[in-house]
Amino acid sequence: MGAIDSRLFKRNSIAKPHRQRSTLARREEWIGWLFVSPWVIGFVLLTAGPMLASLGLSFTEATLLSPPRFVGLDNYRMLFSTDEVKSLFWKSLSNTSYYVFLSVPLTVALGFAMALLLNQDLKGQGIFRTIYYLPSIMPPVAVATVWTWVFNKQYGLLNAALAWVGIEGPAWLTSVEWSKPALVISSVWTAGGGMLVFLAGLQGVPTDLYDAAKVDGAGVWSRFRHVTLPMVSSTIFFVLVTSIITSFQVFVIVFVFSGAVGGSQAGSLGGPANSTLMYVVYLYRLAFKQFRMGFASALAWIYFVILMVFTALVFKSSSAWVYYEGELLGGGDGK
Amino acid sequence: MLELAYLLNQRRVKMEQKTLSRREFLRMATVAAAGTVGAALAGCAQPAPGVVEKVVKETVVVEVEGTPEVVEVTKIVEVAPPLETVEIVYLGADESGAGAVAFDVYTDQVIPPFIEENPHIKVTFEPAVGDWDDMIIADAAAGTAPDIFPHWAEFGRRLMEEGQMLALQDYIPQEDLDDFLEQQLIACRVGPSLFALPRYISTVALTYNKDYLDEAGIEYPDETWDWTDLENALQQLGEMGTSERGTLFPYYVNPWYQPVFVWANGGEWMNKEYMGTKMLIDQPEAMEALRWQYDMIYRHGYAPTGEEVEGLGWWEAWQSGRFAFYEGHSWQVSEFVSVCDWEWDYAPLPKNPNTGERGGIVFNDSQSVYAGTKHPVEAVEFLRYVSSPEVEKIMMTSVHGWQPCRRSLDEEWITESAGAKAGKNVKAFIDILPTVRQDPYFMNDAQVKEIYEPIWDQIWVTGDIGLDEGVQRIVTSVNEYLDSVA
Amino acid sequence: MNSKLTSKWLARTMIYLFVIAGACVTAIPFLWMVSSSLKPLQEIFRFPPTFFPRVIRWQNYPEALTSSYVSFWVYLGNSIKLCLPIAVLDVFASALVAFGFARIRFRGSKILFFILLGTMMLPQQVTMIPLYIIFSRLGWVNTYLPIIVPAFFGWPWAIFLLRQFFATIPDDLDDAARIDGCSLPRMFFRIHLPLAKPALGIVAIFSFQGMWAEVFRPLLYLRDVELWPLALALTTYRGRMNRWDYVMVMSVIMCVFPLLLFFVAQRRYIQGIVITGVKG
Repeated sequence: MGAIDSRLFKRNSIAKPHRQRSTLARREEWIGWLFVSPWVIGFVLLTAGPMLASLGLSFTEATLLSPPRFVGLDNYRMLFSTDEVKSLFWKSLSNTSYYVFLSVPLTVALGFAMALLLNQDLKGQGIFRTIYYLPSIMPPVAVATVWTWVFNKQYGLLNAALAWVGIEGPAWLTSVEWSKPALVISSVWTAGGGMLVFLAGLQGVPTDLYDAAKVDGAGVWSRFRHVTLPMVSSTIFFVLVTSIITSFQVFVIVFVFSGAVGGSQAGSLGGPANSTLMYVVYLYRLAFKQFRMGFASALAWIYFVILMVFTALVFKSSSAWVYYEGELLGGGDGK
Repeated sequence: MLELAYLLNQRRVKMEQKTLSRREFLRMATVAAAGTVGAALAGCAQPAPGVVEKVVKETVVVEVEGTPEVVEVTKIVEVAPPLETVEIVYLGADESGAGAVAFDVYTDQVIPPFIEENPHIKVTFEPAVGDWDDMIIADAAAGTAPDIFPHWAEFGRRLMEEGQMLALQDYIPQEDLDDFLEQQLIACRVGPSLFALPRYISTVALTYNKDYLDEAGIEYPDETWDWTDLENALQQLGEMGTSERGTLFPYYVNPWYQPVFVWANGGEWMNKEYMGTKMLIDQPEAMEALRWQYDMIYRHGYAPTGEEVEGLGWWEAWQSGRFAFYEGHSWQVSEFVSVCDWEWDYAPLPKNPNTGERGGIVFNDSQSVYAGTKHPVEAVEFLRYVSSPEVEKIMMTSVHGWQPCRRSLDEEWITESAGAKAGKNVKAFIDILPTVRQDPYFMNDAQVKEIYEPIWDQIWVTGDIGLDEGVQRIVTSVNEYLDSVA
Repeated sequence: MNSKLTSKWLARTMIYLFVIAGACVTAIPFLWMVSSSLKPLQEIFRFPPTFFPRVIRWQNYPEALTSSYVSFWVYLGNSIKLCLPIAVLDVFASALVAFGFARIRFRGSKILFFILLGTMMLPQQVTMIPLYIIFSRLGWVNTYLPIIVPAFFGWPWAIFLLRQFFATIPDDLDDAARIDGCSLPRMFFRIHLPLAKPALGIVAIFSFQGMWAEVFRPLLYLRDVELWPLALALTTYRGRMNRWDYVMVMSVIMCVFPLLLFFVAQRRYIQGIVITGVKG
């Protein structure tokens, strides 16, 4: 094992000569900023302003249609209230966490597994990849409609499949307990997006590493553990972080499932009895239905903080398991 | 930035409003003055800025010593200045489901006559699609909303309360207003100001499937029917079993339109006609009505539970052909006519056996002029045009099939509307009008709905909470909330 | 010898089985959508639903697409006019920025990167209206500018992705290039970009698809219906939601183009296995 390891894991930093910090480093700094400038400019011009505006709004009572009224930290205080009449923060946060902690591991693991399978030399690779990409291109309305039929208690495909193994399936979308699992299941179906990213990551693993390992007599599993996994860890990291961020913001699928589907039978937006009320859906309701922009902004910024903390934790952990062949200079991970 | 935007809007609105009253007055004055001898006197007055004086020669018949004589008279007449071309944006909605064809009605039939009459006004039509209500909110915040746009209860009312609509009461003559249902106008007013005009009447009638009734040997409903007649019919229909279309049900309970029954039974939904501050559905008469509906689902099984019709929203329920009785809305008439391939018809809602009342509900679907419009004169003119009987007739006979909100068109609805032409008894929608009331809307309605909807779901859709317990919880929470913001 | 072959054969069969099973499950909703688009409306409401239409109603397609507004092809052209530039811009701008973060040491890069991640964490609903007000004041409403210009500044998701990719390229390449006198920008164009081709392909595909399906920003920013991209224009064709037959037709049409595009693109960008090595 040792022999394989040392050949594969080149520790570059040891061999590097110490750079002089003067001209070379300064020029490099300037070039660094140059490369990053498109985003920085965009951020300053288009993103920072609205972000700050919403931060400011969070300290006011605002409808955006009349002058805002300063209320200090009132919004934030009310937000944390456990009285559901005042604030659905806790409920929507718990709904969202349920969704994220189930759907992210499932979709990431599944996406990775499928990518591994499709990275083999199979006939009809292209077709399979296209099929797995289908969920990403289906319009949300169509997705919701089809899935409503899949989840139907009496005739839906899911309950039919369950009946095959002798289980009586529940009324997925109209029950308070099962509406969230239904959402998770439908999100797993969209694992194809992550699969693509993993495929690209797998493509980036140099073949000569595999050859070297084979020469050393490493079996399939060993090759996977010592070549594939480390080389793909940076991609896994990316998919994990972005999946967390995007699934915390789940909105459209809830919207079409429970809200806008033709006078939906599942009751109001956010599922029966707010069981699928996700955080961003709640935010939308506050901002666009109740016109409470100030309160909505406070919610948005609390969410921002939560997500930041979460992501920072994942980053911190990354130094233990994420490997970069090249040295990652900018944006240090957990260092 | 936002505060500034708001202030700029308000300033612009105030300025335009001043000009409006001036010009409107002049227009009326000009109409009165032209062609009469008295014009000479009027012409002596100092013309208002921007108004042109024209010298015209006119022939007048004058009595000179008993003999009529034709005399040429020179007069000075005030004419409104030649109008600069102005562009207004009109956002139009389609509730018929016909899509592009429906939008074409606006561009091909509604707008051209107006442009002919007013060549200096260019009307740009925008179809209202997708999340257009969110779009209007964003537009209003930026000050660029369409000049004339449609809206409905929750969404429109909020915008109204936020001062986003132009006050119209000074520009709509009373005889026009008299032609509308007062029950609809309630929702268009905030205090003494009128901010919107109704677009169409949306009310409810009993829809029945003749094929199923024939099979069960039941007489078709008519205006003598009351709740017990309906229940008897449902009982006779009993277990309808399944057909090609799926499981069949005698009746469909719509959890969101219960006020009709509460009112018919002599109960009240809230303490005021509009903008209620207390919820009253726990009172005995109201509870009785709610229980009648509730039992349809949970005791008698005449109507399906939420999970039995999962995936079928209340908009599509009738069109699936699985119900014998259903409460159809008047805006659905043309849709049903084009989609339903079985025999069916309308009857007025059955009367309540205790009170003899039908109950009846009407919804708030109206249109307004945006408060921040750059051309209030033209926009108001267009709004008046669009709510005129002529345009209502166009919309009624087109694929939209709107029930006109002008009472003067009741006859036309009964004989010429799309539904009438298809042989349906759309008179049912007129019969109910004497007893209709506006759909309940509470103070801070959006927040009230936030409180009561989750529990309501659990009563009617999931069946997790019983009716009595659920209503108690709702009424307590809602009234507690309403008291706290009083 | 024999057992090794059979075990290999067994492994391949298992793989095929999994892949095919997964493909079936994934494809069913899509197939259902297609089959529903060919059903008469009443059949869509049937319970239990049929999978294959009893009667194939081809007329659904021409019926759903009637409009006297602007031709379907104009809308399609608009979509292409939006999606292509945005995809290209997203790829290049994001690659530039990602390279800066991944391969260049400069002060503040760590903080900047976290800010970048942060922009992905604030729900759009609260920044959408202030952003709209900015564009409205600039007079960019009713043009494509509010949608295209932001692409010049990169796409955070893509920047993150490409940064990960650039980081996996061995340092030795950089060092070798530096010794050869290659400047950073040249390194970027000659070495890193080509090596990141699979990732660039992904960004292009996702960016294109994202814009292709977008409905709200076009609705908000584009007043003239003639400017509307296909996704938004299709909503004018059907009005309310309950013509499920037409809704399915629209959905199928929206899928065709991205599907073809993807099939072609994945062949070019993801097919080839990248061979890297430290060249002498």
